[in-house]
Amino acid sequence: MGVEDLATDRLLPGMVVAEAVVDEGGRVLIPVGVALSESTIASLVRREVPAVRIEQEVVEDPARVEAYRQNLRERIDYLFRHAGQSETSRALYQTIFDYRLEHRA
Amino acid sequence: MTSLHKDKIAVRLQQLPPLPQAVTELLASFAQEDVDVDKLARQISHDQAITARVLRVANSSFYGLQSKVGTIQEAVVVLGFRAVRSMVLAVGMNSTFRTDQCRGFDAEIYQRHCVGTSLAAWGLAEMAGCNRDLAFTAGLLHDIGQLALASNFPVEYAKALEYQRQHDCFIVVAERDVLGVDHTQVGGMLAETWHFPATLHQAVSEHHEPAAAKADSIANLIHVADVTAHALDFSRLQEDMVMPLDPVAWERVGGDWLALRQALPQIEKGFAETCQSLML
Repeated sequence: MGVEDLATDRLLPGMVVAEAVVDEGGRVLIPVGVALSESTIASLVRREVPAVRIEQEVVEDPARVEAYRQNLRERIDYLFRHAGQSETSRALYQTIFDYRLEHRA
Repeated sequence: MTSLHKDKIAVRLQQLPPLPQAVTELLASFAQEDVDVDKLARQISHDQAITARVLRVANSSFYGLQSKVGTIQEAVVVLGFRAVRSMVLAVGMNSTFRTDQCRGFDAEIYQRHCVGTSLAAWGLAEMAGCNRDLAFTAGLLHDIGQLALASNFPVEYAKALEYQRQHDCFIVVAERDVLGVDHTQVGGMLAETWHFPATLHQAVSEHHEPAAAKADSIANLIHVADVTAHALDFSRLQEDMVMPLDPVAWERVGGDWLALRQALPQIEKGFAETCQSLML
């Protein structure tokens, strides 16, 4: 998880504050970890807070994810080439595939 | 076909040196209700060759021990009985069979698959209502017939391995086609020769045909673990292949996909650790 400083006019509801927003007197306006709403964004605009540090989800390159998925599919298809089409073999295939997709090395 | 007569195999197996005493005692311990760990540790330490190798592994950088362990008893205290037992069994079996004369037999791939099956059996033992340690050991030994064939009939077994490569078939099929006998039969003979406890005998001789085994045979669990280990690509053999998962065996082990799914991270972690401790 990274962080990013975003200009207040680019904030969107749902974004999570990564560092408490404080006013000039050091009073906390929005604590860390809070998800922004329409109204909190509006209040930030009113108070002329220039920017907010928000949590940035690491966006994975979709092409890389797809390439991994493709390689995984090929390897598991190959390993299961003689495993037959019974319900149990298919269910095992799917269980392993889902697991590997979720636990990418 | 290079048919190997069972009599010929039986004679050869009879001529094998007996298993190291420490290994025999450990195997017998699985049939016992109460295991006397201290007594077993003493027995292991009577075998200097095994002790030396186990201590070498225990003192390897993997464990990062502050001070070196000098005896099996210390190793049991520091690393746990289960870790020491798996080292002793793996080291003991290896010292009995030499497979370097068998072309195409990769001892490391064999070991990785056995350790993988062990961990899968261990991870699924609870679902199957089976003792974890027994499941672990049964997994470790399940393919011992392959080891016996590769070491005692290296030329013949190399032909079976070559046949498997050419036909892209399961090893049992290649063994039956080329040798007229397969590793589960030879493993069963070996289990008799060495007086394995009944559960381990079943694991070795019935894991490829679990539906023909008794409903409560550990062979059902070992079959599922064997298939799972292949599916997880544990051996790192490029041409590896997964056998059909027998629905009867799956049913008998209380097969539950969610339980399997949840056991997988633990199985993989245990596998990585065990491989490191055995230097695979």
